[in-house]
Amino acid sequence: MANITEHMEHETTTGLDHRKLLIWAFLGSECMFFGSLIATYLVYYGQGLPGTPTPVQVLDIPTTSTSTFVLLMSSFMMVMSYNSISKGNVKNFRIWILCTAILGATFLGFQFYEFKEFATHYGLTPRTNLFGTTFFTTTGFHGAHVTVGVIWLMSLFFYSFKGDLTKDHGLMVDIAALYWHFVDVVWIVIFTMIYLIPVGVSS
Amino acid sequence: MASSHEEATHPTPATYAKIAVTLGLITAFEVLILYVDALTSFIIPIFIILSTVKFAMVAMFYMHLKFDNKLFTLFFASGVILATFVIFCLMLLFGAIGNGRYGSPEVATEISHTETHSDKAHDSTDKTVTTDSDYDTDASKTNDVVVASTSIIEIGTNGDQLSFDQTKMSAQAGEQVTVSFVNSAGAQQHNWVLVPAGPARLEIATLGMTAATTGWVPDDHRIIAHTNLINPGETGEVSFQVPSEGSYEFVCTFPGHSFTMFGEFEITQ
Repeated sequence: MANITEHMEHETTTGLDHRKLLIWAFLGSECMFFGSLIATYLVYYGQGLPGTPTPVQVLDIPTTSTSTFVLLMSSFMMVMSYNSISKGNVKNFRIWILCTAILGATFLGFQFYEFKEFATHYGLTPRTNLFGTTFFTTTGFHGAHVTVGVIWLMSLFFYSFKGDLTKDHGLMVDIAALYWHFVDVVWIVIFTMIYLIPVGVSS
Repeated sequence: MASSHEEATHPTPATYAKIAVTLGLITAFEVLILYVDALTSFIIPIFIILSTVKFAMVAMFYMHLKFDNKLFTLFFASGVILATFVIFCLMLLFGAIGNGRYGSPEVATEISHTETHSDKAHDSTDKTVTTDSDYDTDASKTNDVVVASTSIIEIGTNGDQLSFDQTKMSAQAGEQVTVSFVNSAGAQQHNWVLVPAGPARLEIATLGMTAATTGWVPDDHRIIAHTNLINPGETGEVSFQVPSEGSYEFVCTFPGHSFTMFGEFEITQ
């Protein structure tokens, strides 16, 4: 692990580090993954059994906008932490990455509250109707990605105390950051397609 | 990859902060315009443009694609473009756009669906000449009604594809007709249900999903006529009096079929 970027100058046909190409290929495939989930939500939109909760009834825009803002700001913290480590400032790196992870966890808290509210207040679960199924699957998978991200960031945070994380290890942070920003852009799309447009056209 | 020459091209923390502020402001703006009634008809393009701007800012600066090797952009952009394409194709294929559903204010009527349900039912039944006898689809009973002419309209399926072999049927207003439905599928059961055009088709099909005991035909007064559930290779008939006005569609209410298995029922005067 310690030598993770020291040998990055090894010859590759592209002249690029394979690990970085890998994360981008992975993120490209993740676009397809979330694209199909969002498409399923949109295709089944408005086809919930009559009498069961509909998106416009249950979606809570003020709360979700707040959690969206939290996630956007976590992306800023993430880029600052990357900026710190690439300048060799491990102390600042730790502060920023901890803030990122805390904001990520806050976002998850919002999502937990939202899911719980839907279930207890409106009786909406994945089994209730097509809206419930597609909504919880799409946002749930996003939440799972955020959870993985928070664990990843916290691992980097603790790893930095081993003293092995230096300026030369930017790639490790870079890759985690790319994943984190990706989770953020996916949420930008979900927030627009699942929350804003349905409520916007019906208000 | 954090080599020094790359760092030099990277933006400064001030740039990152400016982007963060912009992202926050765009989100606040989105929530604000959500409640401006005057913008309702333009809201979809506005939201799509704003979210694309946010997406691009994060990808270009925070994910530093703007400063990195173009191969990374190619990898990511391919995924984004393919995903967008898939979303559009699926929505078109399943009729989710251009059909009064996603992105249409009609969806809002669903909120008060339970309240307006009976009103809608009355509206549509008023338009039809006969109601209850049609719904029973007792051929002999409706045939007793003396009318000028009786004609048989035939319709089938496209083999095992989930579609009727005609996208449009037509009949004279007020005429007594018999629809003869040939299920030419090898494995699928189908029915033929005549319903008012518009959201009613999907609403009735959705209600039908829980009506297993009645051949997936729900007890809904908007239904003008319907055949029984026809087994593969068999033929079913239904006779009814064509409504004098209004626009109608026919659909198979077998669960899942209504997405692709429907057509227009034209009433000629």
